[in-house]
Amino acid sequence: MIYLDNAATTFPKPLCVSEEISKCIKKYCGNPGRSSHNLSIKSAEKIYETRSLLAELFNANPENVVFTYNTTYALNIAIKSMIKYSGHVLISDIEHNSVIRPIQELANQRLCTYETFSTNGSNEEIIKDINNKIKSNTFLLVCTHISNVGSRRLPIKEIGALCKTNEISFIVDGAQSAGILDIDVKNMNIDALCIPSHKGLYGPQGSGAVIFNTDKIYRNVIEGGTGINSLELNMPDFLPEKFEAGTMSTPVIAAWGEALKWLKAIEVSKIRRYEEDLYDLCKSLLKTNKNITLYEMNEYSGNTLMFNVNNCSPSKVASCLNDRDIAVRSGFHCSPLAHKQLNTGKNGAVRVSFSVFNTRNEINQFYEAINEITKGNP
Amino acid sequence: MCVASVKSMTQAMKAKKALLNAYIDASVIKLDADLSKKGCSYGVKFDCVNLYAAENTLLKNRIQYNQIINL
Repeated sequence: MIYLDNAATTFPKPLCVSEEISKCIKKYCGNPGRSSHNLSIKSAEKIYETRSLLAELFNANPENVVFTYNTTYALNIAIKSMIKYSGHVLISDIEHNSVIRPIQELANQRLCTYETFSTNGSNEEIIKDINNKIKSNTFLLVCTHISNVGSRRLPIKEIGALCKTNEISFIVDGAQSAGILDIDVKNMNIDALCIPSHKGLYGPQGSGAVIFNTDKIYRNVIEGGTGINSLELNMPDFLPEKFEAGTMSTPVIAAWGEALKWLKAIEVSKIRRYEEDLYDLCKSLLKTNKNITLYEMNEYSGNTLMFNVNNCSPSKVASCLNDRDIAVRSGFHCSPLAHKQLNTGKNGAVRVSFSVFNTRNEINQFYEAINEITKGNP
Repeated sequence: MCVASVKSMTQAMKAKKALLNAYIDASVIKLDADLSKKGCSYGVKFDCVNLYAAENTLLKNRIQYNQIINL
């Protein structure tokens, strides 16, 4: 099997991930932060270890790392906890539904208004467009770091600086960039970074995090048991417990910690360079075929490529590839705005995305398969 | 033994890590509810011989504790 759907979730995972899940369930999976017995304390220690590793990777404080189920939950917590009544929000024109839908829902409830800024142009033009759209009541800017469609990379550091100057809270969707690009929440003035465990950080599915970098007071968005202050009717007003109600997934978070140690040993920059090499190879091969339309959003290399085979629907191409044991993803990738920018049409496109476990040989085999399909051999 | 009571399990873990890094043997314990008016709470336990060094370490690492309890 050649797996090229790593932007959806990386596969396979490092061996240490499955080993830790198994070890946790078999040997120490107590309820973290609830009891005083050894299993509960051991589970809490493993969760704190993962918290610390994430804090180190993104230059944050461990207590500001809030675990969630995934990036979508992380974005919902960050956005809804920062919302200001009658405020104005800016988002980019290539956002995933995990950003658009919570913002749209808040707009439906008349809690805020929002508009999009253009990513169609140079970084300077993007900053200029944001600047033009900032209003006196703009309090929040939410945008992706790298689009899950076509590797479009936004100038996060420059946007963060602009937000700081204008006292606007800044939330970054790091679903596709965490583990690929270097992210420093302090240096980039990111107030909340939302990330998944299961993509570029190579952890299991079922966890994500908001990494806060602000002292602002947040609204509650979830209430319940936290293992502390049990006699109080109100939620704790400090991080991370403020947003971590209920039992966390200890096996998943513990395994994520092992993945982070593995990642740290390899180094994010080396993984990025490796994946960019695969991207460049794949792009150069696809460009040689005149029956393929390749969609490019910017000059950067990345780890996600979008294309269509002329006169063949994306789902048909994905199905033909699946018959050859090659996994890709077709459709709109939950990002209708980005597809609109790419002008992919009514059926979207085919996406291939790489991980450190892919090889150049796999890319060549993938291209051979695509070549056959374009010649009408399904 | 002495216990520095803190506001959460996360702070207890942070305190333990800081103390261990300062070569002070420490462990996390759950405190009786009557030690906190708010209910369940946690603390980090260490030998009272290390009290001043422990307090200094917690201070240096910006870990706020509510009180030191002599068990």
